[in-house]
Amino acid sequence: MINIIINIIVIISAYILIGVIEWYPMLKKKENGIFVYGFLFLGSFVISLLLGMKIKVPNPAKGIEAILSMLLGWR
Amino acid sequence: MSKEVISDKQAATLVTVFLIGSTLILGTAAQAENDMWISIILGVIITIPIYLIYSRILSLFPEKDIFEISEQVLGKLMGKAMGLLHIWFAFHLGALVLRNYGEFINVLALTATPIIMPMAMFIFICIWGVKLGIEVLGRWAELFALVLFGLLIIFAFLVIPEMKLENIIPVLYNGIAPVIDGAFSAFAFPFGEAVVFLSVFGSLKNSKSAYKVYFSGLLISGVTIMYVLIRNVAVLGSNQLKLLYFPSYAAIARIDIGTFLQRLEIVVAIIFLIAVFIKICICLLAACIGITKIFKLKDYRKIVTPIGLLMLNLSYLVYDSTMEMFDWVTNFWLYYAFPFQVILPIIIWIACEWQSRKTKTKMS
Repeated sequence: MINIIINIIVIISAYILIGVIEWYPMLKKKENGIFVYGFLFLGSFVISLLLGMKIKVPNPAKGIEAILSMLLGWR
Repeated sequence: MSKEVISDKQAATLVTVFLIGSTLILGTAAQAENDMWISIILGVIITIPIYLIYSRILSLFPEKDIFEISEQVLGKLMGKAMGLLHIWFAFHLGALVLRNYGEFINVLALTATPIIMPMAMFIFICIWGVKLGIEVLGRWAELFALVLFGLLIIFAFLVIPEMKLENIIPVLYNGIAPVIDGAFSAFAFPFGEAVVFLSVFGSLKNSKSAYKVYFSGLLISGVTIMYVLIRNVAVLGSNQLKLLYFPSYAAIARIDIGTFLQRLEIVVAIIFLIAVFIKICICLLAACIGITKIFKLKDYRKIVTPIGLLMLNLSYLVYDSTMEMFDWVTNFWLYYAFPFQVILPIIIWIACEWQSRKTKTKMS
């Protein structure tokens, strides 16, 4: 449990730091691409948080494996 | 923003270092055992027509990347769909290479450190590299290729006492089938991976550059990979080679000259770092350029950090263990990569030829 709390603290601090350094100046200047940046950044933050909390995140490699196995008749 | 341009020499160095990339340490064409070197030769031959297609696409539409080309020749919707597939391939490849790096460090050096730490540190350097642009990466590759090849040449001499040429013979003992299997593996990993450069080579100088760049990269990397595989087989033998995840590391660890020149395997790690840095940077750059074009953004540098962080997340969750990583590379990569490396470029190439003939007929 303590490991998970440390993970969460580290992840949140890292993302706040990156957000302050990169996203905030973009938001202030209303630069082109702030929404794409925000969407990707928040998406990345959520995935990192879930991984940090040891919650299973869907793995695209497993999906690719399943599709290939079905197509090639392996399993 | 002014357009970035790289010289043919820099581009060829980028292709060479990219292709050598993770192959130096992971190896390829394992199915062929002691005939790996024949597989590499066949792999290079198989790659030639595909590189002709890549180069032709770039030469028909100079100064444009695959995202602009596919939108121009296939229409907006199909072009964007093709673009998304290219972005996914570059992004996924970058994540897999980052994981290779993480496993290498985790298995051989920092065994008690969580794998995410070396990967996170490395992706931040790659994000920095990509933000500086392809011109800086080109110059960096040009300089560090000298270090990489210099070290490889020095090792070529130092490892001679450990080489047993009887490990390479008999040639074709298991027949031709494993060699052909190995050739296709070598095509999928690493030669076909150069499809990622279609997204980056809008910055080449002129329309004929692509041929020169792709083929010089293929030749130099083919020879280098062939040498590395022959060295590994000759030093370790095919039986031991099958048991090792990182054969180059084990082969160089055998160097022991005069009892003072030993434990040189750390230099293999340096070579691997140089090559993998370029490979991840190119994949990240390709994904960022693609997203910039799809969402009509002005500068790809703005989105490098979130894409890099997403790449880090994917690389962390993509495999549960080192065994799974090698199982995926050996069994699934060839079939998974084939549509991205061969089918999509062929579709785009046919559309390009059709479009350019239509334009020529209209003009005449």
